[in-house]
Amino acid sequence: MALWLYLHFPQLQLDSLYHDKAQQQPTIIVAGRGHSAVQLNSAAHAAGIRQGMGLGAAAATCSSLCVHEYDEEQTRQRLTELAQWLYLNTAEIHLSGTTGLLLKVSGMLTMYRDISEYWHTIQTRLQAQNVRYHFSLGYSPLAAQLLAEAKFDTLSEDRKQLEHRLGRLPVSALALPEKQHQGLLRVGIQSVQALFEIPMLELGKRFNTELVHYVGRLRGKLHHPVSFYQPPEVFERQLTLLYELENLDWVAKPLFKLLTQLEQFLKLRNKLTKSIQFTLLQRDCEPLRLEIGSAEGEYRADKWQGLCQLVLERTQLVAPLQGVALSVTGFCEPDELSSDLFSERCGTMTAAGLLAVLQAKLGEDAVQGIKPSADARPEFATTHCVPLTSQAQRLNEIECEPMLRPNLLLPQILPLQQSVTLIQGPERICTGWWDGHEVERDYFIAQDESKRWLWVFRDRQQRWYLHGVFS
Amino acid sequence: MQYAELFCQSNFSFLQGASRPEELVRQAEFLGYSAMAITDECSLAGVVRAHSLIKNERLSIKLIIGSLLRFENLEVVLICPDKAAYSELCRVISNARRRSSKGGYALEKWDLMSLRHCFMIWLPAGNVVDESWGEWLARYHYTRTWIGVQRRLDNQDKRYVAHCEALAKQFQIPICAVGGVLMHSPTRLRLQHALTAIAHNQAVDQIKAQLLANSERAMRSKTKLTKLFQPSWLEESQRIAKRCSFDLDDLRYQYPSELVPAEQTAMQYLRTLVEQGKRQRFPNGVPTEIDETISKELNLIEELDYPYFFLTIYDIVMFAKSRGILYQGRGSAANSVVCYCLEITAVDPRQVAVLFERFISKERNEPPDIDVDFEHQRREEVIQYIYQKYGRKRAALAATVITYRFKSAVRDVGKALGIAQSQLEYFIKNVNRRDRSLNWQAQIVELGLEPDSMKGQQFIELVNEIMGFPRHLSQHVGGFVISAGPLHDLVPVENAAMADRTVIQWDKDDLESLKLLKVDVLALGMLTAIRKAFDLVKQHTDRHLSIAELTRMQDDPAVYNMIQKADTVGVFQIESRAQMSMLPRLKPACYYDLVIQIAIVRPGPIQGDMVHPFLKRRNGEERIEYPSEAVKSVLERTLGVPIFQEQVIKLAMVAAGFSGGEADQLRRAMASWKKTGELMQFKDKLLKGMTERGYDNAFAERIFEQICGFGEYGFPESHSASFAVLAYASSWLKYYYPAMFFTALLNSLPMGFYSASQLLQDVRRHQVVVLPVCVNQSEYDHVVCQSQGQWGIRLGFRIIKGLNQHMAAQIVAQRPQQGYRRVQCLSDIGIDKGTLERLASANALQSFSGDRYAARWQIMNSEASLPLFKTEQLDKVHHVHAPDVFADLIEDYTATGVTLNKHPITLLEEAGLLRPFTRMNELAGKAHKSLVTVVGVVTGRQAPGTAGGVTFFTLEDDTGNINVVVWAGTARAQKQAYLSSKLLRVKGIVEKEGEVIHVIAGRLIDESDLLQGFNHKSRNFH
Repeated sequence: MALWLYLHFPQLQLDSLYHDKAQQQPTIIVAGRGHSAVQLNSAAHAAGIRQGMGLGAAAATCSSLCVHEYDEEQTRQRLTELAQWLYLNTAEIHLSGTTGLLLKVSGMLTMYRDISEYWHTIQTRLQAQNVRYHFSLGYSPLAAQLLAEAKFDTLSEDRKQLEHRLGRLPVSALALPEKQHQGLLRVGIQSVQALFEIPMLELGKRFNTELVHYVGRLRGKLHHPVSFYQPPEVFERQLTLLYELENLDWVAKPLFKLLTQLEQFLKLRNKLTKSIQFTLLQRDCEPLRLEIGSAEGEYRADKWQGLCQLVLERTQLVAPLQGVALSVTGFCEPDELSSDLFSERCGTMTAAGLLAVLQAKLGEDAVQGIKPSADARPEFATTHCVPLTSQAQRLNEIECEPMLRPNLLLPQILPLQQSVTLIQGPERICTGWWDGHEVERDYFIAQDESKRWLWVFRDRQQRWYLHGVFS
Repeated sequence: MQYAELFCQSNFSFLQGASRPEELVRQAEFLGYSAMAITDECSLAGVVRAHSLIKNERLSIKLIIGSLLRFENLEVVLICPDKAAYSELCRVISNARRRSSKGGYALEKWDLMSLRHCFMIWLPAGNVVDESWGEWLARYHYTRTWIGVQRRLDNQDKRYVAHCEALAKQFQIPICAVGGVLMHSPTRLRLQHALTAIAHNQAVDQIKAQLLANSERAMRSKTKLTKLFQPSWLEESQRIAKRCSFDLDDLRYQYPSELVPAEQTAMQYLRTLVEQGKRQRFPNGVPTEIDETISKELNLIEELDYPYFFLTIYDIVMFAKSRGILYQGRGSAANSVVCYCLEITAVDPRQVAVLFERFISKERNEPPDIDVDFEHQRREEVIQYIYQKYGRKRAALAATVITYRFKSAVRDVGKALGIAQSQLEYFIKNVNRRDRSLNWQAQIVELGLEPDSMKGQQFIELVNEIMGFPRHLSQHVGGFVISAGPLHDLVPVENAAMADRTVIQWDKDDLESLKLLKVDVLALGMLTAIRKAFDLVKQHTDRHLSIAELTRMQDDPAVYNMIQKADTVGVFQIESRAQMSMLPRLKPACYYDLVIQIAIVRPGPIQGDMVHPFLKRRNGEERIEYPSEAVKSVLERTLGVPIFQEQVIKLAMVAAGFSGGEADQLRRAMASWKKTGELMQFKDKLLKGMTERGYDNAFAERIFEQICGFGEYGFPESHSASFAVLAYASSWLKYYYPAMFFTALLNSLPMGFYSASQLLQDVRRHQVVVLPVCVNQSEYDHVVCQSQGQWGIRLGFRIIKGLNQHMAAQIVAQRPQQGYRRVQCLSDIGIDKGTLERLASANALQSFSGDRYAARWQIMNSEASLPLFKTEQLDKVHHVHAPDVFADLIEDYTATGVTLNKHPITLLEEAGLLRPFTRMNELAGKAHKSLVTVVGVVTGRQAPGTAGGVTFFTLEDDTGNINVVVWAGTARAQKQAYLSSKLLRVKGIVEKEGEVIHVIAGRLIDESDLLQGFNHKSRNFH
């Protein structure tokens, strides 16, 4: 029978949030409709809070409580990180829910002298991660899991001892539906041991197959299929230059070589990528990492080359260049980006292509789109958005009557200097209290002496300002 | 210039209007409007409040009734010029509301088409759809349609006005000016925005497109109106208002006429019935003074024109009587001799000496109040009778306006401001609303809300503003409105959440304001229990009892002796911890003492510090003095201490010079002051009035304190008088027929204060044998039986959790003469496996089937039901162990919630798990103020709002209940044990007062770990 090691991480979220802080303040993670405590630190435990306590009771027990909401996605991600971290030492890892890792030990022991050396390695790896865990070995995945969750925390491969410890667990520790628990308790079966003592046949007559299967898997008599963790695919290449370069203009050739390899890599897999990261390895100093994106997924080496060129123009070397590395971690499917045959595509460059060029040239944050907003305050009537948000999407968000507004809105409101004739108005705008930019204004369309059409307003103190000019 | 506002929504247009109807009326009066309409969306729920304010404060403004209706893309305000239009509007609203589920409405074109009386103010949408609607309106309602032009001063304003003018010209419809008011003042804009956000279930900054761009939908001054509107438009509004003459006071309630025989008037008929009742109630002749009272009461009823009211209730109680449903009337008019003769109440006037006049009074100008309580399990029959007799068109429940309270306000406002939900929950859970030293704002700041931050300030401000705002209409617990004609001529009717229930759009205050009468049909568990006890007594002893019979027998000292010892578990009203601790001090010895007892242990008298003076005076430790003769007349019966709501109100009249009307307002403010805070406005008047009349300032302050305390819990003598009758009747039954009484109580659960387990322990202490549930002996209900020459209780199948009643009936009906011998016999008659398992776990199969584990194990075997195995003897090899005593206890609690075996404390002690402690029955031997350690299962935690931070714990050991008092400081220092322990060890000091013993807790030690697995839930903080 295969030997398994189970690692149970009872408070991943708590651990990943607070490991560097002194854990003075009682902290709990709450989940579910009743906001009950699912993870808590030692300070919270000392204050009398227990697992499963509702937020109300917890708060009443301890007044200075720090509360966070459970984030399953984050926990899962953290668990995947841990799997990846341990993958260097052990080949077969199964992600069990969001709180545990199941490691198949049997196959690995040939690599290590014995189980304790194996465990020592794992333990050292885990220490670096600063997470709390419980562990146990077991001759079935479920047995290892149950014992770890029951905080067995002993490295024992003795079959008898493991069985004995397992037997002492209450049936409530079994991952069975509440109804099954009750069914067992109501006939006096309170421990796993008592459950094991009953012939499977007798159990089968009285309980559903789910329970029988569970017990079978727990005792290792039935096969327990598990799926093992696969590390994600990445493209990583490094090129050491034959001679050091001081001028970045010369890097184009070796870079192109890497990009061509990437093109091959992507073509073979029929994938595109939206961002690449290349690293300039300089002599005696930190490598310089550059991230280059293309809003439209791309695989062609020459396109990437063009974008890289733009970025390199903005880049300065601090020391001679010894090598270049290229890595890509995210991929996308080509059909995600299938373009409309009739969409506006003038000239050779697409909008997304232009955006990629601009972002490469100016930096990513420097390029933004605009969209109308429903805010009644003119200065908030447009907001920035991710560039190239589709027109349909923008229009979806807002629906309003056409408004008489000047084409040019002044970037700064100016006190009204000239005398004007009010032609139309007022349009009164009093709103915006929620973000601290509350306005109370009466807007008018006015004409000054040179017959220019102006957009002016009067505030609550009867002061006049110029806000825009009609064309 | 005169102006009438014709389009104005209050906060009864839920989540639209941001001002109360009263605020709108006051503001309109202040601005000098000649009239204003309250036109909530498809609702008249807010109009009565506006109407009452105008009447009470004698404002000069005229109120117009109307409603905003939306149909497809048409918006129109309907206005009622006269009674016919009003009925029409009520009908349209009712129809639209009835078509939709609770809260919504679905108008149909026909509703609008069929209007013949209402004025229509059309609010054009400002786009092409107006063309067709303009034509439609001009065709069907030409003479009664106006275009209501609003000036919103937004960017569409100019275009909109031009558009409306064009429509007016095109369809020859006159224009009037309307404000489209949603706020009485521009300062409510933030609240209006927040309400809009709540309606969209989003944060304010996520729904900017839906927000008002400015505060122009607030009420405007006349100067501003003249600037914005053409004079002719303003005049038109004024002209429309002038044509409206309908006043809510014109509504005349028509009583259902079928109650009175054709040839008689209602009053004649009432007199006939009372005459008949007299002969029945006083078979030996009516004593003279009672006869005088009756004729006085009848004259008063005639003068105030209430005979129908009494007849309606008479009809309902007669129905209940015919069905054998026990009932009892209470309320201001219920304890009259007339009601005694009509059998509405069973309180014998000779016994009670309560004067009718005290309860119904001309000068207080309040309508008679009769609530009738029925057996809680059978009230539905009474309700169905009413529906069936009067039809759904003529009978509906009164509404209850559900308003924003602290929690809902925090939740909704917080969400509108984009505050994280978990943070809001944290605030809610941690704010202690009972903490009077620290208001909630301060507490929330302590919890981490930045008070100086913009969001923090806005949050506090908005929560304060929104509290008390209505959220939706719900159904009143049992207040029926019954009318002669269709109700929807009188008031709109809408659907309640419960299927087949309809509610009117007014609540009980609104009904009172308009002098419309409602009949309260309430449910009371104790009546069920008493009726069942009477039945059991009759069944087993052939003695016929009734409530009237018990009161006629006069006060029984033995029963009062039991009450004085606080031996009142299971008894009506005086069974709570607070009541029980007062009984030995107050020592009730007659009926009226019970009336006082029930009313005195209430927040009102306690907050007003009236309890101790009363006790002292009763014990003769304090002299009884009256500041004046007038006060003496009010307070004499309670030894100079005001205890009842009626006394406080009467005091306001005789001592502070309140008029009848003012006193009535005071009474109503008391009933709702937690919600509205209206009471404070009476403070000055009361204190001033009393000082002017030469009363001590401290006395006045105390009266006011008590008025505040009465608040929502106010207890009137008229109700206490009826409750005392039930308290006495239940005590009497408990004393003379404990087995019958407790059987009846157990059969009426859930009700009252104690669980089945607590009741059973109490009855066993009264030497009643309790026999376990058994498949060969039990019925579905618990039954009374004879056991060793004593009365006993045989538990019924109903105590088994989750047991199907139909299955239980099957077991009883098919039971063979010699009883069931095997499990197989039960499954043969169709008892399903689930039921058998439940029976096994409850140990009901014990007589033939060994221990409960083995029985259940055997039943679970699926092979047993296969035909081949049917007759085979099943293998006797048991794979499960027999339960030990602990397991038995756990199974008892899990299966039935009660155990007849050893108490957990006994078991723990026998197992050597408990360190030394004192039992409840040994406490009596301890000296007052001595140190003691007690241990018990926590069966009750009560923190009454009035007890100043004290929590009462009830610890149950194997000899009885121990009363533990935990002071706030003790609780705070030992929070964990205080909050969550199930088995508690308390070290403290014995306090003795007469026969009552408390333990004042010093240390609380949580020993719940010993109970691991005991499934015994304590009842927390009632």
